[in-house]
Amino acid sequence: MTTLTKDQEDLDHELVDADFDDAHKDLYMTFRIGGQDFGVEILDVNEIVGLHTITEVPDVPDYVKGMINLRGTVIPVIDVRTRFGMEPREYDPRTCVVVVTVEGATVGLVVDRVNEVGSFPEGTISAPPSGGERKLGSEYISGMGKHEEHVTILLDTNKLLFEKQEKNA
Amino acid sequence: MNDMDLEIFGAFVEEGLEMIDDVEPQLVELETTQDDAGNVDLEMVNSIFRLFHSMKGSAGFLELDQIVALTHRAENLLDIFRKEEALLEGPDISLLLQTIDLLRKVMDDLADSGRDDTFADEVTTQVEALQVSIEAKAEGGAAAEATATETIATEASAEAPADDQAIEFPTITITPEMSERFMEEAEELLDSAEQNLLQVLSDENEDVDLSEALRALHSFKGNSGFMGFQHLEDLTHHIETVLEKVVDGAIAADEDSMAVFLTVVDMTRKAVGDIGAGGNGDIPELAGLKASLELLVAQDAPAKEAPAAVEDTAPRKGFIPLGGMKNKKAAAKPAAKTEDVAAAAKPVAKPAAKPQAQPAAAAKATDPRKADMARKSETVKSKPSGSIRVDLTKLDTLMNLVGELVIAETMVTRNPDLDGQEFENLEKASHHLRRITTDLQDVAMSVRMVPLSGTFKKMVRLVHDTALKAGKKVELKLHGEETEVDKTVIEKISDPLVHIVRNAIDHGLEKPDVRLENGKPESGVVTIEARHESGEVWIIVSDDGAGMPRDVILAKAISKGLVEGDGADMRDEDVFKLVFEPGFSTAATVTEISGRGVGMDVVKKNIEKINGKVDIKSTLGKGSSFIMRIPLTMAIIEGMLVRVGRSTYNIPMLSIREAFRPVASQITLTPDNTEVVKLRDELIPVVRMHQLYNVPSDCQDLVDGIVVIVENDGTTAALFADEILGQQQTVVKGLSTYVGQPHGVSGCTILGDGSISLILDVATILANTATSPMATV
Repeated sequence: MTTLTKDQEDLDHELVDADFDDAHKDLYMTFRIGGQDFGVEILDVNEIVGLHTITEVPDVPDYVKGMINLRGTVIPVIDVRTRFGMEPREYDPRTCVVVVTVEGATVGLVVDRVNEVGSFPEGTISAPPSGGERKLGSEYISGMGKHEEHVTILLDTNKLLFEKQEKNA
Repeated sequence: MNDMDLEIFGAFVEEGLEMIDDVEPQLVELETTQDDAGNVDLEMVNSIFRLFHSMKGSAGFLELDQIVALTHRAENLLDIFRKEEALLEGPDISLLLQTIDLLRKVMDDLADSGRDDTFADEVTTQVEALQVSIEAKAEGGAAAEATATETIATEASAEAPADDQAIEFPTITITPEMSERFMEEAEELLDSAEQNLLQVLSDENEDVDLSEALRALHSFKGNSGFMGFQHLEDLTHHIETVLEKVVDGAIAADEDSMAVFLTVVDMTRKAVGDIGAGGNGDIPELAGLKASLELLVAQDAPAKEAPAAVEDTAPRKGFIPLGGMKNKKAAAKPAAKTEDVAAAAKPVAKPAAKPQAQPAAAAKATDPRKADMARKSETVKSKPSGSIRVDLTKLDTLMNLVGELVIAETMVTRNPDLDGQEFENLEKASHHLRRITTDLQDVAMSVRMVPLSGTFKKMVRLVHDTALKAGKKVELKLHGEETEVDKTVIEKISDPLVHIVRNAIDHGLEKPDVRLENGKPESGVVTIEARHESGEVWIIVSDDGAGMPRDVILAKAISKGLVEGDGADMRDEDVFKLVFEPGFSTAATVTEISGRGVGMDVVKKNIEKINGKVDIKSTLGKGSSFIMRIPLTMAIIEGMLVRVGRSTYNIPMLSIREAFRPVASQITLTPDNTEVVKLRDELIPVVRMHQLYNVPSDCQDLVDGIVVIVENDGTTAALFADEILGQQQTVVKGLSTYVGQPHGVSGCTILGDGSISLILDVATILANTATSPMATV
């Protein structure tokens, strides 16, 4: 796993400079929620910003926390915790917004903290657990990325954003 | 199909569509202005003819065979009317209108696909239809005018018009816009030609391709012909011919020839400048310039083994061989002119008057760079008016950046770090900065403003078609087309305007016989007018028809359950507005044009989307007016900022009536638990914003906070908030598509401190809370 510096600005820089070709196909931006690591495809990620003041918006699902002003562009943010039906948690200085663009919609994902950019080549990803009980937003999982003994849950950004919530947590 | 091609096609399509938009109303007008004998306005026929001709030229250059086929036939057909060989009749107009429609379709597709043969079948059919008509007309014409001159040959007429005295053209009515567009393009074309020519001088390697200059001058020639500037066309035609030889290698591309070319380009530019200043584009030195061009051929031709024909014809007529067709015309020129040219063709030709033309025209121009500098200074002077086409997304980006700049400016100048300290110079500097940003914002806004004339012009065709279908006679009057509104507004009002105009003709105006019975002129008048009125743009569509029957509308509304009781106390305006209800139609039958009751619903919805309103005025027997009241721009909103707890909301000023802190005696709680405030004689339901948006608030008691009375469509409500923060103009931003359109929010805006404030959608709030205006006490 390639580990880049966690310093946010440098990370941003790396992301912008990176040549987004197929070589980045296996790269995932990983972040932590609760005790679990999650990853989203790096190609979906625009940037990572600190948490801004969130303006609440009426009439939206509970996981849509509101909107933030991203350098003059107003984007909605969703709380991944709430999306997964996890207990909400106070935002702290390490709380980050991962800005992703999927199907033309730019949305911020509020996560506990951002880890790193990790590489998960095909062989290291196993299918998401099927059958049994479905919990913790299992419908958004695209696969389980393994690195040594550590497991990162890889998310389907599209489903994370657009899939209707099947059960109300 | 590469991007480059698509880009060229894009430009072609854009220009073509513009031309079509220009010509379509004229075509319709042709029919209406036709006198009883069937005579039509020849100037108009000519200008339509020129449209097809120009389009054919460009399409031919781009090898768009389908478009060439269509325009060629249309041109031929028009040529017959142009020469008055046959009378223009209704079916011909329809045929031409169909052709225009098809052209439009083909071009739209071309812009997307880069192909013009998607509708090949339709094109073939249309071409055949045109051909049939041409033949029919030509036969009739030949019989009628057997004495027609030898210029009849279609090919001769297909050549650019107006460059020859032999064919007398009526003066063209050139609109200022046409002229402006011509100037812009001329400037560009001449620039590119000149740059290409200059390459020869600056570049040591001799293999400079001059075809670019050739193309530019060719286009310029076409434009000049189209506009009827004979001298320009004549001159560019000559330079083109000579330049062609240079490209072919028959004439050396050396300093001498370039100097001559550049002089000609200079003169052309000067003439263009002259047109910009209101002149007729005549070039006094025309003969001299042509002579110096010919000199080039004469000098170089023998040395370079030019085709024999060149040598043969050139000296004899004093003309460069122009190809068969052109020769014919040249021969037809008045003798005096030929002599004139021949005289000027002497080697020592002194074009006179123009100092820098002399050294250049004299075969040995000494210093091309000096000429170059002279030219540059000339350019500055003759620059007519500058405008360019800009991609709309770039403008949007500019708007956004300006919006951000305004915010950033506030963040800097009102930085909390500066609190409590006084810096005199900083104060001054930030004041200056603020003034600039405000100006910048105004300018950025004004860039997006577009005149309504384009939208209005489309109505001409619509009225024509609708009147035909409805079997009515309609006269359309347009006023205030120059009124400017935001580009986005233009897009949104087009549909409503169509519906209103169609309704005015179908429902508003009576049939001709009914009108005569009622003592009105046979043809009805539909007026479309635009004007600025108190910070809004009003677009008014009026007809002098039957007016709207109050009782019929009311009866229909009662039967549909839209109105309770007999509605006797309703104001006329409110009754008329019932027609905006979905599915509401008083028409007994559904016609092809209207009657389903959908159109008016569309009108209302679309106008509301741009924060506009529609008012109706109508007098029975006299006619009706639909008044669309539209804010100048959607991009900026004047709003009142209110605070509820930690959130700020922006209430559009347009819907605010007043704001005040209520006193206990004004507040009543109705038995069904609705709070109402009494304002003068009115009882207004209270909408608590913190409940509406489900946010915590500081004030629970109405007397602690403030109520803002908002009104829309005659419904009122009192919005309850903690306090008023102020009033400001803000740049409207749409909500992300991801969150959709939450209830009661129309958009958002970024405040000076970078925080986001939601803009209230007063119309929906009112529609969902207050039902109907409370009865007076």
